[in-house]
Amino acid sequence: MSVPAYTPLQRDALAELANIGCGQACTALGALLGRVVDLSVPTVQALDLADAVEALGPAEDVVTAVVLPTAGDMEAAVLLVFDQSDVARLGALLGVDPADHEMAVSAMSEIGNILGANYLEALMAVAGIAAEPGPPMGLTDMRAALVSSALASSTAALEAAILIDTRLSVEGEECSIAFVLLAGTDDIERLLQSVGLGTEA
Amino acid sequence: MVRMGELAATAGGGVLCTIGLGSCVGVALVDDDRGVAALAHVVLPDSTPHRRRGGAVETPGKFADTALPLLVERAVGEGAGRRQLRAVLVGGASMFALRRGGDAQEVGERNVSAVRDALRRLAVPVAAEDVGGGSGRTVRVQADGTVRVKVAGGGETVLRAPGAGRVRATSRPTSPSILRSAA
Repeated sequence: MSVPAYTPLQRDALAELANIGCGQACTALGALLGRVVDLSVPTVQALDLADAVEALGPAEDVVTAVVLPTAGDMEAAVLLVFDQSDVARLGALLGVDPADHEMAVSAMSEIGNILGANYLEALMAVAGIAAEPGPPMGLTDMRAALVSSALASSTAALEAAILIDTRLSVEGEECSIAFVLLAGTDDIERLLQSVGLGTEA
Repeated sequence: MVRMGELAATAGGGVLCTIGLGSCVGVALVDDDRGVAALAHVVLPDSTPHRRRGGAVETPGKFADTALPLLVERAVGEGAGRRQLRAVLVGGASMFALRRGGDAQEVGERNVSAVRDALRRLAVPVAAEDVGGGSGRTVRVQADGTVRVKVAGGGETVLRAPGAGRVRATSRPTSPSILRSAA
């Protein structure tokens, strides 16, 4: 398979880029939730599509996924996956009635928008790429159906997806949000080159 | 388990399964009399834009045009009769509508019509289908030709029973262009 074998240093760089984006996202999300928010990115992996779907958790579980595409110089997207328990908890922090699922999905879209847009903006700024995040799309369904569809509809992520494990804690309440960068290997290479870690360097 | 872009065949008591088909299409080929079933998890309609120099496709199971001939080969390899094969289509839902190079049509819809085209070229009739709509599906295929479908939070229903030429699909395609291409 053509999954690029990134070195530990390159994976650290991708995680660090994600951390920079998350740092920016924290402030914005904290303001929205009215709570102290902490985000960290412990691991980054590059995976084949089938492996990426599996790595995100039980395939048939119902989850809410938010996709944030980019438009511009780089065709990429960010996919965030929320377990239903986290949807309920984060929704409650935003004052969403637990019975109102539509509102909860919309709230997750907004959280996904803040996290994803800040992350993408940080990546683009570091790499000097001109692209803008588009509007978020949120859906609730079987995990594998959402993840595989997001992968299939992203032109870029045909061979591999970059999986970024993200821990979000809101005033002591731990939520674990799976965060996936759907980007082509060429664009990842551009990002790595911009921090002096290109494969060909 | 048949994962994204993979395909498999079984004879005898085997069961093939794909969990959570969204815009992807699960294509089952069955030969009831010989107890052979095959299942592909098609991700995209066309391999042409993704060929390496020299024309080779690295992952034929991913694309409708390359997966279907391979699937027929596998089923026949397990002992199925080439002319006894019947197809059952599941999936091709419309999920995230991401912009894809100005192509207005949804991936799911394009997958379904590409799978139908490939089956027509291979002269394999479609016995049953549950395609389109906006929900993910899980499909289970038994070697005796039984095909079961499940949606999120719902029970499992039998889409096709052994020997059945055509069982009505449990959900109607919502997109008019899918209806047109089905006609």
